[in-house]
Formats: sequence, C-alpha cells, structure tokens
Amino acid sequence: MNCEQSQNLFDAYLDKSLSGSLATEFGAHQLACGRCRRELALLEVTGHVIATDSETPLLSDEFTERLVECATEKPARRPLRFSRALWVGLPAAMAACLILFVWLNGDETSEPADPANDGPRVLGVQDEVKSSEELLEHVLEALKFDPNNADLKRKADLLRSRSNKIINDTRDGASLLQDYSEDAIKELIGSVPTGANSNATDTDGGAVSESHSGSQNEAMQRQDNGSGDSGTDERPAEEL
Amino acid sequence: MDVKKSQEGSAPLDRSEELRLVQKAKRQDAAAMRALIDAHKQRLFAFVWRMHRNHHDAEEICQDAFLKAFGAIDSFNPDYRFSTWLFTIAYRVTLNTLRKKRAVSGEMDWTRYASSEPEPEHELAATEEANRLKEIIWDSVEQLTPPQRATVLLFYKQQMGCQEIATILETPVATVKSHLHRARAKLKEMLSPALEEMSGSHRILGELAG
Repeated sequence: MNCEQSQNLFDAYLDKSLSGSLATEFGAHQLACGRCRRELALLEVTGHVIATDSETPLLSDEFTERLVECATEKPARRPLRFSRALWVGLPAAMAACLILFVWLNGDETSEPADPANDGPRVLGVQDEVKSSEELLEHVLEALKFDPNNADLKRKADLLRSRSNKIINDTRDGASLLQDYSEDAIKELIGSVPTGANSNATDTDGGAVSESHSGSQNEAMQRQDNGSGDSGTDERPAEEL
Repeated sequence: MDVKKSQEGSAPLDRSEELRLVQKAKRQDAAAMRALIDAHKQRLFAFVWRMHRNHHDAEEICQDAFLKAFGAIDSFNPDYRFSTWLFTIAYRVTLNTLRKKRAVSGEMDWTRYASSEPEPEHELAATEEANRLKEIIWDSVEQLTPPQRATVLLFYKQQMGCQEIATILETPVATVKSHLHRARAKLKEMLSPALEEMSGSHRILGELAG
C-alpha cells in the first residue's frame, strides 16, 4: 500500500469501518510511514479535541424560564389576535368605503396619462370618469351605507343637476366635474365611518385648475377654504 | 475526564420519557417544556455556539429553535428523536443567520468573535504548545463551510451518526460523508503546516489525544 492509497482509507479508518485484510495492510503502512502516521494522528487528535473540548460557555441562568414563559404565552395571545381580526372585519360600512377608496385611488395611480390628452393635467381620474352619471352612482352607493347623511344627499342632488351640462362641456369643464367628484367622494369617505357631517359647501362652478401636479391639491384647498372646515374631511380619507 | 458531562447538564432523556414530555408539551404543559429544554439546551447551545462563536447570537438561535419547535410541536414526527428535530430547526436558523451576516458584512470575520469570548480554563492540554494547537484546530474548524462545520460538530461533538446528521442537514447520507471527507482533508491541509512548525509535535499530539 502506498501513501495515496493509505490516505484514501483515512475516512474509513476514522469512521471505524475498515476491516479485514485492508485494515491489516493499512496498519502495516502506518507502521512503516511516518508521514501517514503523523497525518492520521493529527486527524484523530482533531476529532478528539472537538469531541472533548469544554470551551462552550454556559447559557444564561434564566434561559429556561424565559423560554417557558414565551412558549406558554402563545395561547393567551391568540384570542387577542382573533378579536383584532374581528374588529377589522366587522364594520361593513368601513370595508365598503375602503373598497371605494382603493378603487378611486387605484384609478389615480395605475392608469398612465393619455398621450392624446396633452393639455394641462387636472386629475388622474380624468380618463376613468366617463359621465356624471357614473359619479352619481358612486355617491348613491355611498349613501346606502349612510342614508341619513344630508351632505351626501345634497352632493348627489348637485351632481344629478349638473351632470348633463358638464358631460358635454370642454376639457376644463370635465376637470371641474372631477374636482367636484374627487372632493365629494373624499368627503363621503371621511364622513361615513365617523358619522360626522361634513360642512363643506359646493365649490364655485368656475373653479378650474390649470396647473399640472398641484391642481388636485389646489382644487381641494379652494373647496376647503370655501367650506371653512379645512383639513377635517381630507384626513380620514388619507388614513384609510 | 468527562468534560462534556459536566458542561452539558442534564442526562439525555430515554425515548419513552421524551415522547411523554412531547405529548404534554403539546398541551402547553410548562413543566414538560421545561424538562425538554433542560435536557437539550446545553448540547444545542454548544453546537450553535461553535457554528457562530458569538454567545448572544447562539443564545438567540437556541431560543428561536425551541420556540419554533414548541410552536410546531403538533407536527413532530415521533419516529425521530426530539433532539434531531431540534437540531434540524437550529441548523436552519443558524444557516439563515450566517447568510444574513454574510450579506451585511461580506465575509465573516471569525477573529472578531474569537476575541470577544473569554477564554475558559483549559482542562485538556497540559502544555502551552498543546494549547496553541488546540486553538489552531478550532480556528481551522471555523474556516470550514457551514455544512462541513456542522457535520464535523455533529459527528465529533454530538457523537451523531451520518444518518442522523443527514436528517438534520436535510441532505442525503452520501452528502454528509462527502462533507466529512472534505472537512478532514481541509483540516489536515490547514493543520499540518502548523504542526510542522512546532517542536515536539509528537508529544503534543500525544498530550492532546489524552
């Protein structure tokens, strides 16, 4: 047996799976070869040091108790999580408003700008809003969740009365419609869960935004200023 | 000298006792959980600490492994030992932690960990050179890849067979044997030059071998 063959058998020897004539030959080579004997001894010692070394530090004294406490805390937490889930799912009106908000918000952000409409960008929802009847539908749907909301009713009436005029108007007229609808919907979203009536009054029919990115905020600001209740209606919608 | 016994606390549980405790732990029995933790914690910690060489990380990993084990104890397969299951979870957590560390800091800086730990009293070797060789051995073990290091630690330190290691590492037995073979070859390669430099290396090996 040469050194290469001997070293190929190191694993088998160390795992104690070497037997028979091969083991005898292997032993004979170790007696004759100092280098192999030395390398084998090194591996044996390495295994011995790993197996017997006591250098592992001890765990902290409170390890067990801390763990038991954590492990047994779990069942107590489950009802909390369950009740929290109930709170989230319970108010159907809130959920419906959330869906409405997400739908509107999605329209604002997901749709790319219409390249054909290269004029001043008034609101992101412009392309989605096809007619005042659609807007009216949204307001009426929201009214289902808060049928006694006088402000919503008033908004619905306003939209109903102006729909025919605005739908056939110019692009600026269309943006005006959207200013109205955006505002009205933000107001209703803010008012339905809390039950608070918005004091916002209707905007001036001539309020048309010509700015690019800030047009929506400006329109909102104008409406807020007009209502004398600025900020109160916008916040719940953002939080939702 | 039985260093392991004095360091690793409680004696291992027999199979029937272990299953009884597991059944109780399924019912959130705190005493059973305590018994399972005490029976395994120091062995597990020894393994994880050798993988990480950081006391805080190792303790957190052990805690995480126990909590995961108790959290999923309903899915425990009684065909396996609880320790095998626990080591499997701990190994996974260890690998994830090592990966995160590597992702944050590039290569692992093992010397940082080595220097942060206090050196406990040496019991095995009698001479300074033997101590030095022992340090070199551990330094070399730390340079192995995580699967190779885990294999070596489980094989030598935990006295586990290749089949059990394969279960823990979730690899075939042949892969475990390959890890062991490569680890030994690497250790030999790393340790031989160091030993050559030492005077009286035969005596040192003799002392270390006990």
